[in-house]
Amino acid sequence: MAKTLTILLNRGPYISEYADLALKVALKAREKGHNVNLYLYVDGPWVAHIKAQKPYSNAGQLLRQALEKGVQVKICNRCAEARDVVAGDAIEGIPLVGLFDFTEWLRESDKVLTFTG
Amino acid sequence: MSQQAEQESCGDQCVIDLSKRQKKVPTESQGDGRATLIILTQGTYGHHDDGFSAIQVGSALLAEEERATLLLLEDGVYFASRDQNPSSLGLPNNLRYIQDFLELGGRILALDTSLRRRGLSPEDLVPGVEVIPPSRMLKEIEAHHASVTF
Repeated sequence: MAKTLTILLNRGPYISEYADLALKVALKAREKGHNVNLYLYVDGPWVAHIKAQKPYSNAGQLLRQALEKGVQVKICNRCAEARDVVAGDAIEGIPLVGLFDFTEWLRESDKVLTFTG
Repeated sequence: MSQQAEQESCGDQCVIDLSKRQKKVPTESQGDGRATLIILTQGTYGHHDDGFSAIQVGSALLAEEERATLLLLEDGVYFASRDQNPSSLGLPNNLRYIQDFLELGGRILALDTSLRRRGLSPEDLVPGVEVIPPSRMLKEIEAHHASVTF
């Protein structure tokens, strides 16, 4: 039976493995048929800022794959604004939302994972 | 999402302001009895805004009348320092958010070993913060339905 996993990603790309790990977990969970939510919080919105193709593995590429596979992704509006990341800066299809969207996901979830550090 | 929540989530730079809320303590019957444990391991006012972001999650939960506990570990204990004053850094003071969180029924716990290793004592913390031994951590984790870590 499909379960719901919510992933909270607090860190951006390249500085650590957290962004890549969070997205690989999300993709694997989708592959197994689970519902997956990904909330980009604190420095997490930077991941959605990588829109262009890169000649090397990158979190933006994984994020686009996750969207294609049906992972629900949302960006913290406050965090994005503090970093001057606006809707047009992010990969298409990812809304900027408030924290109540995250708490709603918390209520719906069977498991919650945080990637931070 | 309620209209009030929608407006608050995107107003005033999306900061959850509990001071506008009626003061009442969430009970176990509210929010389907759900409780979330928010673990903070990072210091505050430095290069991360984990502390502020952690209590914002707690405030959002309280605003929806769910229970929330903030557990301070490692450098996270600095978050509840009673004499904090970041005005020279040009940053807003977290004390207001801590007071509102406590008044709305949020619990703040600080690990005693993390305090002592940093030369701090319970008297250095905001009144209302409960200092707990490591043995209490497992009980707290078991008593909550979900946890998020900062």
